[in-house]
Amino acid sequence: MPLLNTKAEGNVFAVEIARADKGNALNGELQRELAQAWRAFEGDDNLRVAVLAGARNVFSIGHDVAELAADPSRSPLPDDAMFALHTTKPVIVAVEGPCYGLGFELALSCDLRIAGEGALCGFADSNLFVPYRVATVLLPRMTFVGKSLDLIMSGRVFNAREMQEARLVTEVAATGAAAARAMELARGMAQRFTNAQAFRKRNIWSLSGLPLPAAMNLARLPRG
Amino acid sequence: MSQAETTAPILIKEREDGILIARMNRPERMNALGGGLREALEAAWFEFRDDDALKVMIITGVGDRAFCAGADLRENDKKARELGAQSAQALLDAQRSAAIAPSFTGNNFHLYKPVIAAINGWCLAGGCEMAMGCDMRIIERHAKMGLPEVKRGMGAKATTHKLHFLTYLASGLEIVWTGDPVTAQRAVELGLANEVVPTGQSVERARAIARDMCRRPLQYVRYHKERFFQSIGVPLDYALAMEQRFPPHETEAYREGLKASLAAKLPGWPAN
Repeated sequence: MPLLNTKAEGNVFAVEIARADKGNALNGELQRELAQAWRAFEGDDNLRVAVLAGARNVFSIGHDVAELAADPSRSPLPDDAMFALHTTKPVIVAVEGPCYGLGFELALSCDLRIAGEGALCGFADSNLFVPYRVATVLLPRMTFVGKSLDLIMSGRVFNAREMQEARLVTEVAATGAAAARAMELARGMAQRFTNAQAFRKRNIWSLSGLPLPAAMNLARLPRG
Repeated sequence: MSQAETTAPILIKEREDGILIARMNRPERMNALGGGLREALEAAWFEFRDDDALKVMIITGVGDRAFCAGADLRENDKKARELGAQSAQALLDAQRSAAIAPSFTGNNFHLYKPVIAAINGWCLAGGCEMAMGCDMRIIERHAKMGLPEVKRGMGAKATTHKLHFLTYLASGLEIVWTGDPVTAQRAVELGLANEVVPTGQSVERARAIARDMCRRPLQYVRYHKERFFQSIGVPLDYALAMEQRFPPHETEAYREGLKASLAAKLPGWPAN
């Protein structure tokens, strides 16, 4: 029984985390399935845009603490392949309900975020002593440093509006409507999608935060 | 130091568990950085940084009029006249040494523990710079922040990188070029402050946040701040690769945290 449902709808690749009974906690198996899903998406020329969502209006509460506690000698650091960051094609994430810790990191690694009104994002588990490596790199590139420090040091949970103020979500939808809105957006993007867009996604991520002269020079280089 | 013991010190320091609260106590001069306040602040940053028992620092001003109005221009002017009377070289030397104040603003001398500014009133020039150098800013509704240097033909020396971090270019340039102070609400909109609270409540709010931070392992808080600052301005792939070195599962804090996490219940957790 897979924990991740994937399905091609035309040119759009719909990915759903289907472990709602455990708050869509990202255990080792789910991390592997996510990595596989991104590889499949990247390798299939018919798929142009992906949409990631969590089942039953929960995005993900983050690490599977029960699984980690069963074997504390195992590293809680996830395989970076589970993040959507390295795909060259756009990934839209629909965030509903809790989106914590590793789940929040996963959402941040996508390109566009649509949040339902009831979304709650942050590093909520003040007990979990895990470095959020991807988030520490991405957050100050995406929002103000002050907001980044607020999120990660105080562990404060941001609601959908606060996320929008921090420019971490592109759009807020009614509760329960984020996935449908993300699909709508994805279908539109899939129609316009060309290879040039993949090129730009890579440039935007890899050049962000660099000193301006260095970024301008790198942007001129041909990239494969 | 000895004679300051008898009267109220210029920087009132209180310790509450892992929290150090420092109150700038020069309200008659809007807590401007003169009369020994700058030196007392410098000492306090180092005290906080180097004391492992302290986890979070809160900086605020005494009274409801000012957080800190920046450099004490009257005092600086007096000093400059005295030095200028000695020799032109003495004045030049003093200006040069004043330009280097590495610890004054907190965020540039490897201080990776959180510092929260509780902005209780006017927060101007060097005072604004100090607040921007903190990690979080809680501002009271009546307070205003600003960099009026431009209006006096002075440069806001160490502010540009902080403005860029906090507000990005568009609003950053507005703030330094106009020199106009912004209201608390506008400060939050621009990214200058994190949160507005009613008058008189900034320290209390900062304390609540600090207590929450104290519950987190210090190593965790320190790690993330350090990584944030070191990942800015380097290529993405390099920044990600730099993140690989932290083995949390080899620490006791991790094992303890797992146990506590199992028992904890997060807000919004779906009912089973």
